[in-house]
Amino acid sequence: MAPRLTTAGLALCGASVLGAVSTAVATDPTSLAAAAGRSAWMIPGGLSLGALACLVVGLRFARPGPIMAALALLGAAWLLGPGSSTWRSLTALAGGWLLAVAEMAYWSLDFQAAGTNSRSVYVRRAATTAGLVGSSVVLSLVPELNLFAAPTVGVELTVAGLLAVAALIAVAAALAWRLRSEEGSTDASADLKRSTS
Amino acid sequence: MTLTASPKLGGYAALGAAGLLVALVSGLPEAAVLGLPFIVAVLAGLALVERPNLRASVEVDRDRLLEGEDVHVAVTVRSTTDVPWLQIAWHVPQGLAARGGRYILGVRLAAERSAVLETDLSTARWGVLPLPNPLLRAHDRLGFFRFEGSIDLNRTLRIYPRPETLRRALSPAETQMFSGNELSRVRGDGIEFADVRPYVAGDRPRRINWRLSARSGQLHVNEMHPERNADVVIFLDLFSDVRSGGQGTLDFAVRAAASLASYYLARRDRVGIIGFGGALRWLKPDMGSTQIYRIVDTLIDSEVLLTYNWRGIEIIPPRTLPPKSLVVALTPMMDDRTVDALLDLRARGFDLAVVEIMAEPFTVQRPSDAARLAHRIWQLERTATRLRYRRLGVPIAQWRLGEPLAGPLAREREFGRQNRWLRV
Repeated sequence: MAPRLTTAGLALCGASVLGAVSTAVATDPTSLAAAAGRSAWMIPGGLSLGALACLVVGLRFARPGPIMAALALLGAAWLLGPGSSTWRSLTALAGGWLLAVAEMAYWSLDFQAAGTNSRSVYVRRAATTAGLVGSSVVLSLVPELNLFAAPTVGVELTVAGLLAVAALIAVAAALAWRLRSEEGSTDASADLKRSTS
Repeated sequence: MTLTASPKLGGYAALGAAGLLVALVSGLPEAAVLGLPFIVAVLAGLALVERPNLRASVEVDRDRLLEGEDVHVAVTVRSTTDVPWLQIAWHVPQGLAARGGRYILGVRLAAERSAVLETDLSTARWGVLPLPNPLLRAHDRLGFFRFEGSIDLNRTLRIYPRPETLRRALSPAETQMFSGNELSRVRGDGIEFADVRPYVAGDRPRRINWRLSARSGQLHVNEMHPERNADVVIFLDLFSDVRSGGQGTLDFAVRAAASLASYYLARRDRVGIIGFGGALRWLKPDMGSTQIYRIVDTLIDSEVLLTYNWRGIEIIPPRTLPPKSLVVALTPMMDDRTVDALLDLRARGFDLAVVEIMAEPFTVQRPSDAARLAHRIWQLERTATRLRYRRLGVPIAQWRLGEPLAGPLAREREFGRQNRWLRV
């Protein structure tokens, strides 16, 4: 099977599984969707179906916008679906799963250009994706497992969250600036030295 | 190389930020946990990105070839850094087709290693083709960034028309002064018997026809036809090119011109060329092996140039159109300017022969009655033009698609034999 189809199929399967789980556990009376009454499962179910539709459109027409929308809808379905603490404790895994779906979908977009790739390209990319998903899940488990004794509600938490967001933005900006300054200092033509014969 | 961020970077950042925002606004820490992997991915991508340092070289096995031959192109890329995914792409230009190898290759390039993209390109049509620049695209480890660039190749392929082997072509009515392979009408030293005449003082004894002299009782000598060369001017109509399905009348005209030039130059004739079109081009008649290279180099640059500032045949220097030269015109007869110019040449006394490259196979006839009527009128006009040429003693033969060039030339020789009295 073509790599583009394979990765697209994996992304769709992953999204289906996440959507199905979100819908199945939405019947829990403690879930946010339970406010809708007996048809609580319809909210995450609809969101999941919408996410699948967006994903199909994005993959079919190679557009990144619908893929992002699909990921957001899947995330919303998970937030509204599980109610019990058992399922909520798996949010870190769900986040990792969502990242894996996103990686597969965007990887599929990267295969738009025809041509052949060596096997090492796939192996390397798959290993990198696996490492990224694994490490992000581990990092997500830190707040999930309450390793730090922090208040669960209150102004302190909000302030801490805002500070964390500001710190993240600063780190991202610093990294992006490093890249920008590298680009400015490097002559583009010097990178690609020509030697025709 | 140009750095481009993948849409994935913005998408992940937006998802991560949305998760944090939802967590802060709604008090749902799960939203932050859901968005955290995306933030981690973005930060990892920004931290791990490394600009690749690539060196590329391109090898083309030859840049002059005949139609139908293959050219082998190899693009070698070497990197001093580890590139997880390097794509080397080769845009196959119009007029060439990828026969073997690959024209897009994706590899993982380890540091101080090299990757080679080899492509075999086959040529379908003569011409001067600039080779496209190979494109390079390097992806970072996490697929957030792309570094794109191209190798400035600056090479052109010169594809020469493949000449058809001709055993016979058209014989000129008049010959020139130099020795060659064409039997002259005049009498002189040669090996082809022409006539006998009475001996006059100064005749060489070896020319005496002893048998006739003994029978008549008076000395007679043999007269011979000398072998001389001829001046041949190939007239190429560049006003119109009827094309369909990747082929056109100009393709056949240029191939025929190359075939005729090869044939006449092998016979020690002087061959020149006139490209009559939007841009008037000419090459003075000359003989020798270098002239064929000059001619084909001129031919492969032939193209139809649409302009209102065209110039007539009268500005061509006399040395390019020498007296007594044979003018072989290759034309689809689609433009009145060419028809008039050829009739003008005939009126000036040039020995003219017209090979009409049939445009009908390249035209599309629409099914409507009006279109059928227009097509019929067009064909009648073409028939009338042919009759105009024939009435002036100009041999004109139609060269049909798929027919060897020897076919129309044979028909023109036959016309010449039957209408010798028409020659001026």
